[in-house]
Amino acid sequence: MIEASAGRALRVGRRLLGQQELAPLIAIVILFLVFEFRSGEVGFFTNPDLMSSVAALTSSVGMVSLGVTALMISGEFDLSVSATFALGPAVMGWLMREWGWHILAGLFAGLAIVALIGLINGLITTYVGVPSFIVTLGMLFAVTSWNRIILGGFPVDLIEEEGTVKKILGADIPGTPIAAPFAWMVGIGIILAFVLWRTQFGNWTYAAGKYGGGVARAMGVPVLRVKLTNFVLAGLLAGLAGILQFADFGSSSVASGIDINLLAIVAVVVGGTSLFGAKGTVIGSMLGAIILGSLKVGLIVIKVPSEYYLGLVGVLLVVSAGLNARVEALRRGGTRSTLFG
Amino acid sequence: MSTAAVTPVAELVNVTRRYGKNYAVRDASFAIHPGEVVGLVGDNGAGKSTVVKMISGYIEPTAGTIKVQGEPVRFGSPREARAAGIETVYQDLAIVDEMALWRNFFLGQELHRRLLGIRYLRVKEMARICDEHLAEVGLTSVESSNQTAATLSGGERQSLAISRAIHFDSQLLVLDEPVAALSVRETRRVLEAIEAAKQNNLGVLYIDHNMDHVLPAADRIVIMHRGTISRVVHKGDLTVDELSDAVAESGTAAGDGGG
Repeated sequence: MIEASAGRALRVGRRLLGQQELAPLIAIVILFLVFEFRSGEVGFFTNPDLMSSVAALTSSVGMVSLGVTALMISGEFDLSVSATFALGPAVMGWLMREWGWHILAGLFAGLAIVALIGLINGLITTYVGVPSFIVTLGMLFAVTSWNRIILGGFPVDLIEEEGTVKKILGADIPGTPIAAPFAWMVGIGIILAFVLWRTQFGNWTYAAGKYGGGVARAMGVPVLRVKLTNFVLAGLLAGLAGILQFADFGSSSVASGIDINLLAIVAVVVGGTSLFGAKGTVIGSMLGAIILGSLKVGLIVIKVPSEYYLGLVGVLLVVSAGLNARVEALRRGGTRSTLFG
Repeated sequence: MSTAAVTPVAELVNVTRRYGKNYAVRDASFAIHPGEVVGLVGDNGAGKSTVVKMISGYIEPTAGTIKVQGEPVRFGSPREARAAGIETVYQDLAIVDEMALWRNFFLGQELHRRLLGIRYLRVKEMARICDEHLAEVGLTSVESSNQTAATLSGGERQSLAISRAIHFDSQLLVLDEPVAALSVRETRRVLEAIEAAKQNNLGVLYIDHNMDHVLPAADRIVIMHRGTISRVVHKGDLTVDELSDAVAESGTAAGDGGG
């Protein structure tokens, strides 16, 4: 009985990780060990303060990458997520400051606006037929401009200093040095992984990413609706990520989330998701985000000048994309299945 | 005609599709009966693919009627055509390589249970059913329906798509150049799968520009030229050589007339 359930747990565990997530997982282990042993007495994963920083850096990029992953699996891009990231807290903070809105009302208004941005991206892409790369690039500029208009160049503060809502969104998880946004990322990531793996919508998301949705459409899948849903999800999660960081830091500005659209794509690719759609996992993307966060903190700890960080991110991106391509070529020769295969 | 008494699974009655002043298909009529393979042959631009698109719900006829099981139908989308029992297998658009065989098999019609408005996949059941059907169409090399479709050969993909049509009780299976890029051995595999579909009483519409591909499979052959049906031949009526000549002549004659 115990053996059977252990075997089952092992099988489930193996399926959950699959092969795609194995490479980023190994990379994390290596990074953690190298940073631990090269950092002397400071330590790395044994140092709660450093882990707190890694978690904070990971949670923003990671949360944004969740929606970007699902969208990319369905065959579309969203470059506007960095602007959406700043828009969520901007709307929320502005409504609370200027109109005295309650934090919850501000929260939902912020989420509604960012979901709307995703919806507009999706509608223009699917119904007008403009490639999502162009639509969301345009939206990136438009929303950035809008953020400047709302905030007028000044940061906005989260006025409710000690409220329950703020604690749930951004305070440290009790008994740990890890801030709540990390738990939000992991929680939503696991739910989304399950949705993609085990629901009809998930199956349709993967199918929509192949040949511009051609196969799925031929099989009667409502491809436009599936893509549209994923656009909304990408906007919503980017805005939520911004709001969670807002709750954690206590303030937000136009500059919040800058470059996070590109970093999220790095996390997604490092996590093994294909730029051509139909293949990928959100678990992989979270691991990719952890790699980025660890790298940033770890380099400082082992006294590598911070100027090297972006260069290493670039190398990491290209190397992992190259590895994915090679592994994929090898896999096509064999009959072994992948996580979603 | 022994099949005349049976209601055709699908029938085109004076179907026309016009783009502006150009006729892609003009006044085409033919029927497909249960357990019958109808070949649709013609050169590029003959109107074959327009016929396929109308039957599978991508476009609507400008004039005329499409009937399924004797009832006139109008399809607004491929989804509606599929719901009416018409399963179309496109050469390149049949399979998602990256997805497991069972996910491909059930794509668009996944078995699920609803909980709080969310449709959860019934994975084990789908994998089991898929395994059974793969054996039926001779896909014995497949170890498990959990492997990705990327591991299948070209013929095996077509077979998977055909077995899908059999399982979902389709009335009509539309095959768009199913063996165009396949080896002799692979072609035989697909013909076996088509035979299995016939045995399950499906009507099969088999489209190809190459007569040699259609000939071994079809019971009856509809020859199209420049949007119209130039000839319908029964396999038994002529020998293989005579049939090939008939196609060649039909094409040449009509070509000269229209040229």
